[in-house]
Amino acid sequence: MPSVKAQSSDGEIPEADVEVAKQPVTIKTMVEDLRMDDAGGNDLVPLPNVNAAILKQVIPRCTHHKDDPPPPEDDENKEKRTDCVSVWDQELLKVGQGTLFELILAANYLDMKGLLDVTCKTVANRIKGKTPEELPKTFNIKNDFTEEEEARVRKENQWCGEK
Amino acid sequence: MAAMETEAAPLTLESLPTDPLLLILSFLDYRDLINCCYVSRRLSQLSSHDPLWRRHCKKYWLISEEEKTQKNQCWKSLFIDTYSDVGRYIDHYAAIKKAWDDLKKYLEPRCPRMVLSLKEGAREEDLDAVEAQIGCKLPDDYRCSYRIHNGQKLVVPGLLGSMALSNHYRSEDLLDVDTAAGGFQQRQGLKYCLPLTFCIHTGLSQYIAVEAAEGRNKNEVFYQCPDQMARNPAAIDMFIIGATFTDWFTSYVNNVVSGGFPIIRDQIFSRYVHDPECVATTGDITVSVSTSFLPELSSVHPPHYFFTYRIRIEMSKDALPEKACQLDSRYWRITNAKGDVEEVQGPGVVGEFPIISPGRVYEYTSCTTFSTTSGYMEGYYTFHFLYFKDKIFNVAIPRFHMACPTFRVSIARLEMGPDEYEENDSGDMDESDEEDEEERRRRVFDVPIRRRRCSRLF
Repeated sequence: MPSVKAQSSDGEIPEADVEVAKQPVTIKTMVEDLRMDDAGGNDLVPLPNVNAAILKQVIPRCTHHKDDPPPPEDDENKEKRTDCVSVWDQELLKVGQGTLFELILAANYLDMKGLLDVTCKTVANRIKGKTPEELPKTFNIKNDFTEEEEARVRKENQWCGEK
Repeated sequence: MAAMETEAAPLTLESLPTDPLLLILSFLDYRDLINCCYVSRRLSQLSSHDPLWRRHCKKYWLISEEEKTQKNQCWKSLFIDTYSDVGRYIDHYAAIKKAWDDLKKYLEPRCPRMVLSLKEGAREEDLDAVEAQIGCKLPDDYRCSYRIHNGQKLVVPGLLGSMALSNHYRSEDLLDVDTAAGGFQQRQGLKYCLPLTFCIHTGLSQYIAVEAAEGRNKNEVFYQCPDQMARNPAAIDMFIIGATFTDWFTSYVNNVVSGGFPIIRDQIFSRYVHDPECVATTGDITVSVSTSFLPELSSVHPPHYFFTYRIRIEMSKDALPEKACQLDSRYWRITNAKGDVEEVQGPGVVGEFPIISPGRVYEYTSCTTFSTTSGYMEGYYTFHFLYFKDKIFNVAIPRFHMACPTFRVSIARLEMGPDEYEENDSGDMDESDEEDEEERRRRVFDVPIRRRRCSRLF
């Protein structure tokens, strides 16, 4: 079975079956443009923006979802739901925020719409229902508003009845 | 739940690149989006990214691209403006607005007079004033609908449909909120009931219970049906036709716009419900039936359930010309819920002997009553060929079922002593001693739904 080797940012070389490896559009483009799939399998696909740990999570997901139909085009009129993350993906994504965000970055860089979608939905689910006080704590975000800015934001959004 | 993790290289929500961050925000509801505005400058800026608000404008307020262009505003500001006006109804608005839009679009070419009779929406102050007048709160979904249109002028044809028989005519107008308030009931038997519709001919109204009382659930919509045997004017039985205003209104609109109710001479002949499976074809002739329940001519006490049925007889336009025929007689087999059968035979239909030829449609209306809450009819017509008068044949009429809506017996009756009402001789009120006290108290006769029945009434 033809395989492709990817070289992560920290030098490791996880190997993956070429069909699986071609799921990330970035890799697919590289592989096809550089005609790596008909080479001897010794060429490396460099992925300087993705570390090995993340790549090791991305590859099993690609394998698991390799027969999935391509995700539908974003329909402006369709309801955007976050409850349709498959159980397998939910398990994969029971990770800390840091890892989750790294997965998002990887999916973004590798142009993997499916993975990007589920990771973003997962983060969205963690935002839902939290108050403006809980959000900075959960996501470790510093409030960088000045007093005037904060007052302005409050005023602009008082129509919503919160805070 | 995300733990409060600290990462060695702090990758936070904030530090994600814009595209994925916008994707995350696109999954949030408007409230969560606003909450994000309070967190940091970057989140605030991105949460206000206008395309994110397009989805919410469409979902909650049904605002179209055209409307946005006309108003020359950005999506977020449109959302806020609409929220400031009708935000209190945000949970109901889309369903009710859609119902109104669909209804008007359907009626404009078919019943233009009816659309012209619709009044413009009431103001919040007007609705508050009515609440003060009647001493009760109006349901939110009712208010939402009345913000869009304040009923119609008291004219014919009524928005809530018409019904015509040889000697009986009903046309139900949607009342404006002030007229409705004038009809707000305080008397025993109809406490806290606000009329939704009114018919000038029959004086009949559909009511909504604005508070729970006398065995009614809050927000139920019903036809009243005085208990004629109770000798107590507070004994009013009820045919329930909606669990809430939204349920009542949207079901009605769906029936109209799906073509479920025939439009005849620019009136909606509502309550005629046709089950598309209720059709029988014999040779080139197809017979189909729609039925309707008439609460104003029915009663629970004594049990007398009045139905009309409208029959459509048509011959395929591809039939050969020599198939033209004339109806001679009808045969009916009428069965009630107890299994009692009545047979009726007679010449013609409603005094006529229609000729059916290729492409021709003949329709007529007749009626029947049952002493049980449901029943069915079936039968056949006998025809002779126009050009071969001796050749006769039967054309089947599909079996059609009729059942009255769920009704609820008045509390007054349940609380009466035995000498306060006439004995009722029908068998369908099960007054056995073994009956649960609880059951007796809340006697809601749920009429069994048959999958194939011809009449989903109301």
